[in-house]
Amino acid sequence: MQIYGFFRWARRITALALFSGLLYFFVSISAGAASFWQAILGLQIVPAVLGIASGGLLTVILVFLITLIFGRVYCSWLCPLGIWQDIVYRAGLFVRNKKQRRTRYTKAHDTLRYFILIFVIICVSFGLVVPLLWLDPYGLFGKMATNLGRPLSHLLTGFQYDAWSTAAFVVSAILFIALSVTAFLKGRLYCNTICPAGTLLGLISRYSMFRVKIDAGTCTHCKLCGMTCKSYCIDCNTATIDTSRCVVCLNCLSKCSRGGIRYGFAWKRDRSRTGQPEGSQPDKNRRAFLTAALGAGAGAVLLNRFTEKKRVRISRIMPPGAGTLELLKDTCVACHACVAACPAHIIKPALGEFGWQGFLLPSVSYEHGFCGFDCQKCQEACPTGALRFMPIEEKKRIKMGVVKLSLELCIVEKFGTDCGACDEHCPVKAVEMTPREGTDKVFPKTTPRLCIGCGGCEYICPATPKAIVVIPLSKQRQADAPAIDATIDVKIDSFGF
Amino acid sequence: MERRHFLKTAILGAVAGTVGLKNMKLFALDKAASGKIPQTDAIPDMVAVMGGEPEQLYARAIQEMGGISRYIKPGMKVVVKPNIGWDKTPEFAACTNPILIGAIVRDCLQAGASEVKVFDHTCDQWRGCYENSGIQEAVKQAGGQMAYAHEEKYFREIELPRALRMKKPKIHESLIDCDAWINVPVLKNHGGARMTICMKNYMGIVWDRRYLHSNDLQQCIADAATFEKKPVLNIVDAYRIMTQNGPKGRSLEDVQTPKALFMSSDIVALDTAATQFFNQFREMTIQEASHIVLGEKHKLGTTDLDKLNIKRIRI
Repeated sequence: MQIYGFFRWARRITALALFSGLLYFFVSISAGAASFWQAILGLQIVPAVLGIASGGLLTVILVFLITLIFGRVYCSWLCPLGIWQDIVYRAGLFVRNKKQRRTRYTKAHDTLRYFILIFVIICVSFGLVVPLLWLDPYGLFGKMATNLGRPLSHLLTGFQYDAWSTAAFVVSAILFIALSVTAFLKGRLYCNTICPAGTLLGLISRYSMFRVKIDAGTCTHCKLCGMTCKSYCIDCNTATIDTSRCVVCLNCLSKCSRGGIRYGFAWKRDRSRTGQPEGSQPDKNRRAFLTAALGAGAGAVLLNRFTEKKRVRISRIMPPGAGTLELLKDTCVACHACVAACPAHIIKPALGEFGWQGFLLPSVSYEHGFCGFDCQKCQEACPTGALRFMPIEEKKRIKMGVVKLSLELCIVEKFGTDCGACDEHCPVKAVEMTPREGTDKVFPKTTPRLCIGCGGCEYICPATPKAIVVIPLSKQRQADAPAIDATIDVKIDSFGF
Repeated sequence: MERRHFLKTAILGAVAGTVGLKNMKLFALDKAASGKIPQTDAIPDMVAVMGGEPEQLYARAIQEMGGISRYIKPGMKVVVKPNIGWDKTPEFAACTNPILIGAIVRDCLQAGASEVKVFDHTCDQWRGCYENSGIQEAVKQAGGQMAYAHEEKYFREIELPRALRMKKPKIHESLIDCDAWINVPVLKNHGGARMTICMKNYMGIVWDRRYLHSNDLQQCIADAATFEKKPVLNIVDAYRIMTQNGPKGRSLEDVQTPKALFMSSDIVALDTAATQFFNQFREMTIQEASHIVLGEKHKLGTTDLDKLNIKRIRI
């Protein structure tokens, strides 16, 4: 029993450290220290699956392998949303009396969970990620931490929060309350019914090398283990455990004083007799699976029919590295890691700017800042590769939008006084103050082919309405490299005064 | 209360003066073995030094100007205001040289300043500017502290009675609360204001930059410089200067390295001199950078350099 206690503590400590680290990354206002925790983002399974082409493969193999050996430890050690639910459930124990704490085995909602899993798989394989936006545990955690946690941390520290979005806040608050209440009342219900990652890993953990199992010889059917299971997966009447739902929290093991329930090697010859929960009713299970598959197929076809086929005209800029709106939609789960990582606070959840499928995807607004020329924090943070990480020299040329100057609104034109704020902020000199004949003033002149759409000019333009703005591009590309001016070749040896 | 506190400290300082004096002398001898600190009547209106490393240039110039203790008294709260406008490394000359800033901060502390704060209301994202300019590191090593200036809450509204266009700007709190400040711009060309030197460096003490740009930039710069608390010294960093694509710059081709430094208490004269120095690289007049002329109209100084006692030194 000693060893189980040790493992439980190891789980708790790892889970808490990981959870607080991730939370810190998402809500911290100081971008510097947070980057350490960024590495954890790379361990998340759904982003890894979506970003399988851009370095996610290793994580996918690792998580599947771990699950095949140890069962669904991922869900209780590494999944931030799972850990949050554990925290809520655990806190709930303090307000419950002994009787209320007891849990009882319930049957798995097989049809529903397989429906969701198959539906998601079909959708994703046809490049439709929008269901994952609302189902992926990591993405949900990120949305909640960013849109609830960040405003809160800014409020507490007294800094202003520039990436505020009321819609994102409300949506996140609803999700947060719903998930927390479910966890409080029903433990890991979300993980075992709705979460596609949980269901997928459940398919593997069913056959994992190590499993929790009841030893028919020593078990006295006292039901203590079943009463403490937050996954509701220990059926004491038949002395079986539904390992597809077990998240290997090991809480049950320390409850049993007789060693009647154990975690151990399960790939023995007599596998067919023990540890096969659905073994008694294979037909029913298969029927559920088939129904789900049929339903999911039909659902996916329907969803596909209603998705936007035409190219959406975007009215906001996409963060650098997104490529096209289609690509962004194909890979982004709206975890908002980029929102959290952007030091200029210009990345905000989109509302209708990218169409309904693009709701909450990251978009760029130059209201409170502009894109740093040497900055690629969003690309570094993105775990799915939706914002493609690229060499910094390539990032410096990435064209997110293109400049549009309305000279008649310009301060110099209107009032005849010097300004030049746009020229000052332009890192590529796509807008430059140039002399005009007959005046002693300099006026802005744009060279759109050089423009990278960083928004420095739009942000700083003092005219109302803005005389210079950036028009979003629905397809990002490389801007022309500016011709480097020759050095002025002057040698001086006097002060000139 | 603060003035009383300051006077108290000053008197205490005078009583226990001998120790301090010794330290100061030692320090001065240490830095510049040649020559003594000139007496009051021999101090020039302006010093221009050329041909050395930033620390050397500063040490020589401040010695000629009578030593830092002429300007910074023990117990004073001091602000050093460099140009940290852009997220660029020192070799791009977009921000004031960090070595120079470090030397000034160290000197002020050695003269007995109770604290030295350094800030700028940056154009690029502030953290990148503070870090990549090297100034944050240099200031910390010298024993000074960086002050935040990226949010409106660090700025307080004041009145500028002599101003024509910008009468009620919000000025950074550390500047309002300090006893003395030193203005340390870098010499650059500027797309809007044509030149950015000492007076233009005042833009970084104001919260609302857009106000200046939209209400006659040149006049507003001159107005800002009428801020009642004048810098005790203006120091122009011309170790590296930006001659084109300023004030942000695009590549190293925009940078020249004349290794010079100018120092004066007369802000208009110093801007005039620096513009004439710049003119050797690229044509520029104070009539174009008209805030300098407007500064003279505000009686902030003179553009007539012939009237001044200028000491020109080549190392």
